[in-house]
Amino acid sequence: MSVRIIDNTPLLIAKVKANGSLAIKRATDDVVRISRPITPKGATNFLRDNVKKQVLGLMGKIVWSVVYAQYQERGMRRDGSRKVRRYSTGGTGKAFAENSVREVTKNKSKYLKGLLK
Amino acid sequence: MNISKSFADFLETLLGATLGQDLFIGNAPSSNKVQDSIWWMVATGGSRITDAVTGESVKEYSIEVYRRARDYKTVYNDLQSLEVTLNCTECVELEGFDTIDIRASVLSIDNDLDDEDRKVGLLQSTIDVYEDCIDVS
Repeated sequence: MSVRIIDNTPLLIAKVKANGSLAIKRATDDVVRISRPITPKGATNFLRDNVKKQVLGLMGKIVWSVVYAQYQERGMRRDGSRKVRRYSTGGTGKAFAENSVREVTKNKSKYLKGLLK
Repeated sequence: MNISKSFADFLETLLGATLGQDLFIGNAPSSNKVQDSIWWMVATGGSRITDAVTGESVKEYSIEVYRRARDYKTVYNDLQSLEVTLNCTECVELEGFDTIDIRASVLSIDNDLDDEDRKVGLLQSTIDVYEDCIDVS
């Protein structure tokens, strides 16, 4: 008796890569959306408006491309000095990037919704 | 001859690119050193997936090819064209390697983080080659 083996592994791998990339794109879009209202805002929206995102394959990156972004994220200088004590816009504060990513990763399964077929 | 150099030579012929000018291995040079429209590739792998009793093996490599240009259409068309070629195993000849199978897929095209007016696209390929002991110099 002869048998025929069909190996769908390459198809599965290709599907995982394509759908995984889409899921990461959805997630990065949400990180940016969630971060906006909690990103510190002064007289302008400069920090909020200068966020860039990129998804290539299974790697997603989000960059706040403003010189003082890391200071606002940390809420202080790298050496611990100059702590931000008062935020002029209610609801904003430090760790806006970290908190947004944390919020998204809590619900990571929803970004795969509809893609696992 | 290692897989990176061999694949880069193949891309040079296929794309009409020049290694070191608009085709790079490993990463893209900083923007003030090269033009906007470039290719670069990153090769990983070398995993043995099949061993022959003679000591030879089939090895798998992953190669990512990135395309950067000012407009989306150029990036998309170039990557789709490359994908069609790479998914035809008979069309791929890598010097120093006996290619058994090659599979490629074009993934996302997105903004270049270093320049909002540029686009970057990615093609991922998996290459299975028949190998004995090779000189990687």
